[in-house]
Amino acid sequence: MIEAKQISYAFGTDPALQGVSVAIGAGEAVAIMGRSGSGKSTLLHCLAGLLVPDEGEVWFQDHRLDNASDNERSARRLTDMGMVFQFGYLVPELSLVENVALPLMATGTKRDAAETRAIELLERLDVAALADRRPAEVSGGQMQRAAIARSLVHRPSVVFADEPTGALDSVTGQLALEAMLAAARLDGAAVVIVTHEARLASYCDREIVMRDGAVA
Amino acid sequence: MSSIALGWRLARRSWRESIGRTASMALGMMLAGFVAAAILGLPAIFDGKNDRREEVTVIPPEALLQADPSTNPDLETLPLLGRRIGEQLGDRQLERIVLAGTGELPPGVAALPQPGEVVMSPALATLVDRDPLVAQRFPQTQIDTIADAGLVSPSDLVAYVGVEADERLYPISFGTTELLPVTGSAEVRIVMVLSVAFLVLPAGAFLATSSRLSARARNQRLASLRLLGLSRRAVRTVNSVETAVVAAAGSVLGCLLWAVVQPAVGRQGVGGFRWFGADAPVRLPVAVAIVLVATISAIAVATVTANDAVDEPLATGRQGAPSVRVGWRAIVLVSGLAMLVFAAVKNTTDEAFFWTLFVGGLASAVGTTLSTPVVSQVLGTSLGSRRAGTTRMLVARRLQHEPSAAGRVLTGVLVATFALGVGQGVVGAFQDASFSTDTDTTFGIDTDLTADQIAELPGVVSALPQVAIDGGDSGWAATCAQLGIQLDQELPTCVDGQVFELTFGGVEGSYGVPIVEAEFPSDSSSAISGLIVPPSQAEIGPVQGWTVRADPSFRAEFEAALIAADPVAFAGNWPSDNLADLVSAVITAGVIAAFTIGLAAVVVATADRSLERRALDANLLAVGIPARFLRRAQLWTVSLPVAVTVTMAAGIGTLAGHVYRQAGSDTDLPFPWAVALFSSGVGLVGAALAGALAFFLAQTRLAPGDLRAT
Repeated sequence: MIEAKQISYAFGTDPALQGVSVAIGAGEAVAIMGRSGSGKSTLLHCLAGLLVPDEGEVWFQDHRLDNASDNERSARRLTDMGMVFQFGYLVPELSLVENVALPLMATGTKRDAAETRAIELLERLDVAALADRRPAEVSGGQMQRAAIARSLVHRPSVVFADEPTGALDSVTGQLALEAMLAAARLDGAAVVIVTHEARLASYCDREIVMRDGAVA
Repeated sequence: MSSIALGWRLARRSWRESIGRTASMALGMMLAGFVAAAILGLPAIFDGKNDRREEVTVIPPEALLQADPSTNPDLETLPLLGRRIGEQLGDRQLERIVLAGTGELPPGVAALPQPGEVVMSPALATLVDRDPLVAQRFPQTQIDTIADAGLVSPSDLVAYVGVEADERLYPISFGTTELLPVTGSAEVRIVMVLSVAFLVLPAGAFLATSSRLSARARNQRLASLRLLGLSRRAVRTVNSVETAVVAAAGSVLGCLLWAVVQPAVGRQGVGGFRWFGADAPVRLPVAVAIVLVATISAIAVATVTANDAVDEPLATGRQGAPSVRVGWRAIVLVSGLAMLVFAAVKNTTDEAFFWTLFVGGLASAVGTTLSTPVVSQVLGTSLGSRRAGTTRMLVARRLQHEPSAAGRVLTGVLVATFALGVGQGVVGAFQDASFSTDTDTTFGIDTDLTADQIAELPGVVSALPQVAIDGGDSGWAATCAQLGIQLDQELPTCVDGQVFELTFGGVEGSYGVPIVEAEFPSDSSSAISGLIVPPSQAEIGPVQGWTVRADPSFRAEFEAALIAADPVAFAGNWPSDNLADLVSAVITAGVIAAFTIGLAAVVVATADRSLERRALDANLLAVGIPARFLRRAQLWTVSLPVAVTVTMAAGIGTLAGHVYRQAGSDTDLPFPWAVALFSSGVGLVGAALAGALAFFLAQTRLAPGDLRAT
C-alpha cells in the first residue's frame, strides 16, 4: 500500500535519511524505532508526504507522492491518511468534537454529520464526555485521544503517529496506543508509529529499526 | 544570573529569531518618538517664529512713541519712510512694504530697493514666476531675494518695494518692539490640542500595538520562566528589560529621525504650515523625556499584557482561553455616547458643553477601541452556529477564543477612523465660521485713485468716499441711491440733497440733523453710520479714504489692479480667516497623519498576528487541511471585526464632529451622512487591506522547520 524506494533526505548539509527502502501493507501496524536523531521521524514525514525526499520514490496506493504537488499531497493526507503528533496539536480555539470533525468538514461533509462521526470516535476512545471542552481544558492523555480520533475520523487507509505517547506517562501512553490500534483495526487502517519504546512497539505487527539514517 | 541579565540574554535571542517582529516593535517606538519630538517641537517653532516676527516687524511711528519715552527716537530724523500693506493671495497673506529714502536696512535685505525695484522673498519670487496675476502686482525689477533672517517662515510672501516719497508714507523702523510671547496664545493652544488629538492618540495606539507584538510567543516564553521557578517579579523584570531595550532604541531613533528630517519638512510644510529648521532643534532634555516616557509606557503595556502569563503560567503554556472581562469596556463606550448625545441635545457654546463634548468624544473613541473584544466575541457567537461550514467555524472560534487579538489589530485603524470623522466635522465648523464668499463684503481702502477709477476695479459694487466736513467731523458723501447699494437695502426715508445722519435699529442721532434709519446689515463690517452728505455739497473737505463694497471672489484681481494703479494704496479690513486656515490645515494634516499612522499600526499588527498564527496553521496543514480554509479564515477573522468596529468608529466620530459643528447654531444642520460614509469607507479600505494582508501571510506550505516545531 505504501512504499519508499531508496529515499534520502538532508536538512541542509546534515543527512537524515540515506537510501531507505520500506514497504507497509494494508491494515498492517508497523513501529519505526531508533534513537534520537536516527531519522525515524523524517522517514515518517516522507512516507506521509509532509517532506519530499531529495532522492528516491514514495508510492501510496499506486500514486507517486514524491513528485506530486503540495496540494495533491495535502489532499491525499486529508482523505486517505491520519496524522497524530507527540503533543496532539489540536486547534486551541476549537472544542474536541470540532477538532475531530474538522478533517471531515474540510472534505465537504456537513457539520452535523461530521460531528456525529466525531462523537462516535470520541466514544470509542472514551472521551465523548469531554466533547465540548477545548484542548486546554482537558488532560494530556485526553487531548491525545482526541488527536487519535481526529486521525481516524475520515476512515483513512493509514494513520501516521509521530511519538504519540511521548508526552504521556507509561500507563496513559499504553492506553492511548491500545485505543488507537483498536480503532484503526476496526476501520481496517494501517498504522505507522514512530517510537523509541520497545514495550509499545511490541503492540505492532512489525518493527523497523533506524540507525544513522538507514534501516538497521 | 540576575533577572536583568537574563532578560537581556533572552531579548537578544528572541530578536535574532524574530527580526521582523523586533523591527516592527522598534518601528512603532520610532514612530512614537518621531511624533512626540515633532509635537514637543511646536512651541519652539512658534517661539522661533515669534522671534523672527519681532525682527521683521515694521514699526510705525505710533508704536515707536509708545515705547519707553527716554528711548523715543526723533521721528523727524528717521530717514526711512515706508508703509506696510497687507494683501491676500488666494488663501495666503502677502506683505508688501513700500520704502522710500535711505536708512536702516530691513532684516535679510542686502540693499534698499530704489523706485522701480523690488526685493522679494524666495517663495514670492517663485509665485511671481508661476502666476501672471501675481506678477502683475510687481512690475518692478527684482534686484535680490530676502535672506532667511528676514522671514518668519520659508513660505512667507514678502516684498520690499522701492517707491518715490509720498505723503502717505511715514517714518518706520524694524524689529524694535517686543511682541507678546505666543507660546501661550490661543493659536498655539489650538494647534497643540489638535496635535494631541490627531497625532498623540494614534501614535499612542501604535505604541500600544507595538508593545504587544509577538504577545503569544512572548507570553509562552514568560510562562516557561515562571514554570521554571522564577518569581513573578523576576519574570516581569525579564519582560521589562526585553521591552525597554527595543523601546528605548526605537524612540531614540525616532527623535534622531525628526532632528534629521525636520528642516526639510519645515521647508516643504505640513498642511501649509512651514518653518525654518533652525527654529525647531530637538533639545536634549526633551529627547531624554521622550525616550523615558516611551520606554515606561511600553513597559507598562508589556507588563499589563503579560499578566496572564505571569499569574497563570500553566494555562498560558497550554494556550488556555484568556478570561476576557468585557463589561467595563462597554460601560466606557456607553458613557461616552451618552455624553455625546447629552451635548447634542444641550447644544450650547459654554465651557461645560465643550468639556462634555470633549470628554464624551474621548470616552467614545477609547470605549470603541476597548469594546473590540466584545464585538469580536459577539461576532464569533453569532457566526458559530451548528450550521456553520469549515471556514465560518474556524473564524467564529478564533474570534471567541482570542477576542483581544482583534483589538490589537484594530486599535490603529479605529483611532484613525474616529479622527477622520471628528476632523471633518471640526474642519467644517471652521469653514462655517470663516469668511463666506457667497455675499459681498465691505472694507476700507486708502488710495489716491478717483471714484471712477475705483469703480473700474474688479469686483467693486459700490465705493463711498469718507470725507472731512467743515467743523471737524467726517462722514460719507453719497446719494440715497449710492447708500442703498452700499447697504444693500431700500432707504424710503432718505431724501437727496440734504445732510442727514444714518442710524441703525432706532439708535438716537447725535449730530442734530435729520435721521435716516436703516436695518442693521448682516455683514457688520458694512455698517457705516454717521453723517451722510450730498456729494455736491460745497463744504466737503478732502477725501480721507473709501469704503468699498465688493465681491470677495474678485479679491485677488481687485488687489492686483489697485496696486498696479497705486503702489502705495492700502486695502484693509477684509474679513480675516487666517486662524481658520491654520486650524483647517493642522486638522487636515493631522487627519492624514493619524490615518497613516493608524494604517501602519494595522499593517504591523496584522503581520505580527498572522506570523504568530502560522505555527498553529502548520498543525492543520500537517493533517491535510487545505490552505484555502486557513487563508479564508485569516481573512475573515481580521476583516470582520475591523469592518464592524470601524463603521462604529466612523459613525461615532462623525456624530462627535457634527455635535461640535452644530454647537450654538440656531438652524438644524443635517447629519453628515456623506462624511460618515466616507469615513467608514476609508476605514473599510483599511479593513480590506488588513484582511488581504492576513490572507497572503497565512501559512500555506509546510517547511521542514515547521515539522520540527510541530
